[in-house]
Amino acid sequence: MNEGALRLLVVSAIAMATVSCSGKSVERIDPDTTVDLSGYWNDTDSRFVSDAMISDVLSATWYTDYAKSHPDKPTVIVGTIRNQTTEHIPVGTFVGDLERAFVNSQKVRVVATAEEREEVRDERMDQGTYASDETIKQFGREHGADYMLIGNVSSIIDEKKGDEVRYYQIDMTLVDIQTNEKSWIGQHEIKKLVGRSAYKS
Amino acid sequence: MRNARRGLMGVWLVAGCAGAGYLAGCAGAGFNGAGFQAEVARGQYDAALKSLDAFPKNDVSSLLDRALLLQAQGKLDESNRAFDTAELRIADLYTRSLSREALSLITNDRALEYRAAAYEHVYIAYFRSWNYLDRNDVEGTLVEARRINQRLDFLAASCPEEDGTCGNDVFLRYWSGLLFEWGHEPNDAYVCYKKAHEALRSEGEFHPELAPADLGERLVDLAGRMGWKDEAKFYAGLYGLDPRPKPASRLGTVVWVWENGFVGRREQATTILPILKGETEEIRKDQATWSQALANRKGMNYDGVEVDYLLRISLPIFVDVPPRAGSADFETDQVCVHAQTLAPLSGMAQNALDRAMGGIVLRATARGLAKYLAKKTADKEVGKDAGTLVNLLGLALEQSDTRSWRSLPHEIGVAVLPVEPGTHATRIRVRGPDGQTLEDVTQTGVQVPAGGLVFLRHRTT
Repeated sequence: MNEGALRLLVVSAIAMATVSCSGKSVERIDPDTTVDLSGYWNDTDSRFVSDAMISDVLSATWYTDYAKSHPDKPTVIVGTIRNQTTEHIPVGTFVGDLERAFVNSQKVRVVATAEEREEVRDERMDQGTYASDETIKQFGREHGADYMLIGNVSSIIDEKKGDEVRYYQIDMTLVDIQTNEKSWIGQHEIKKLVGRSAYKS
Repeated sequence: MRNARRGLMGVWLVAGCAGAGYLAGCAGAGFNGAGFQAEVARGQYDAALKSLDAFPKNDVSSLLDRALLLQAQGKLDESNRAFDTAELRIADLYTRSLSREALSLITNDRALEYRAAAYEHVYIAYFRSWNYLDRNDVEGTLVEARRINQRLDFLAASCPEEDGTCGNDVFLRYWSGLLFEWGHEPNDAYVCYKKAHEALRSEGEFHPELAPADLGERLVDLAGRMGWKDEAKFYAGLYGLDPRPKPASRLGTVVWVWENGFVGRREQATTILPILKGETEEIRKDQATWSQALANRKGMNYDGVEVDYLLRISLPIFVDVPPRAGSADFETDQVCVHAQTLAPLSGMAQNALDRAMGGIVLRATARGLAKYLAKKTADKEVGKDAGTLVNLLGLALEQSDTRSWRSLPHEIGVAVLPVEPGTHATRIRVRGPDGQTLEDVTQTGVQVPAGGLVFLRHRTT
């Protein structure tokens, strides 16, 4: 290594390392903005899939059949969504996104999940002791769901030399609670290519 | 003119070395691996965690240690966050930083970010699975079981390009099979057990003596339950078992995992490579070829040879930490089972360093050579004092990379106890190498469901 090369190496290494050690910055961004950092399942995937799934389920024939024979909107509950991937997906967020999409469609009524119902029932029980007679809520007047939406998220990861293809398949089924009949089955897929270069500056 | 040039050259060299030293000195300077392991052994987790502050916050080796210590403290969410950060960092570090590579060439390997050895990366999922098992979180546990297989499959597919174990890890395949069985996923469990069996045949020969004690039974039982009679017969033949399907057993299974001692650690050692009389000018002409030639002189006897300069390079050496315990017995309801060692982690750590050593020696030699030539140039262009200063700075910068996942156990053993459903107590007796009792403890209140699996863990430090 000659003198010039050594000098260049010293300067560039120090300069680049110093730049790469620069401090933290925080920027507020629109929650609807798509930001993919790692390629893992993220908030955009959750929102995107829930909107697409709910749009599919509400445009299927079960809905028009129900509307023909019932004066009221159907009542649905979002049941268990199983995570069968290699990631710790926050399923609660996904369930929340599905419920939001259902409610915002104004085509169905959504009732509380099993866990939430327990909390509500505790509150009703509490009211029985502490609330005034005029405001007390009665037991046995809950709105029973007609349909339950259940499903699972699975993934296949294929990787080679820094490149990764992440494939997510989301399968959902709407089950008639009275008859156990599967009224609708939907599927949605997400495929991401995560590329990593061998070198950066 | 010549004086001005000499002055400028001196400033360049001193500033360069000092700046590089400042930047390179941040990765674990002052950290004592032996002291850290001693603190963990004494259960002084807060002190051990504090000592990890010597590393940058995103250093993978310290994140992995942090995750395991937080797990030992029962802080499972914090442990998961540390594991998450480490795993994302490992993925990001696939892309090598040219600036850091360049910096490491003039300072030392600590300027490079620690990327985790292949075996460390795969074992994250094993250790992390306990964070979910302890909460009875089936989905979370099975995510880790899938990750184990995803990473082993990736290693198998990329072998021999990578430095991994080629996915032939019997224990991890078996462990993920147990997790799937516990999570009522018999098909996935069966695939994992089959892969554990295949890993036993990795060298072309079947080594039943290395198989987990109940692997054959689990293969035969699951194949029978899923109606695959031919496969049940095949595995029964290999493991010397009865292939006829057995009625579903009421017996539950307690799986005791014994984590013993500490993994060997990397420590710094100095090696001397002789540069012989008359070689310096040749080295100036072709530094790359000479780096390789000098690297091959490691351990060379230079008695009776005319030596021009002794090049000192720092290399990491593997220091095994023999565990104080030699064996452990687990006893429940008069059933006593000796823990079978299935994961020799310290051996894996040594292999990982051995595989990396060729590159480490070459880099250290190239670095030493560059510093040696800089000294010679300073001697000639600026004067002997400047040469001495450059030499001293070069020696101060030369440090070997001793980072690794230091809180891992030396080895992992398993004892599988079939028991009647109900509540049980397990007596654990840990013995030293001479048979002396080191620990004799009883864990009570172990609830075992009919036909179910229960996982328990004991660490001897």
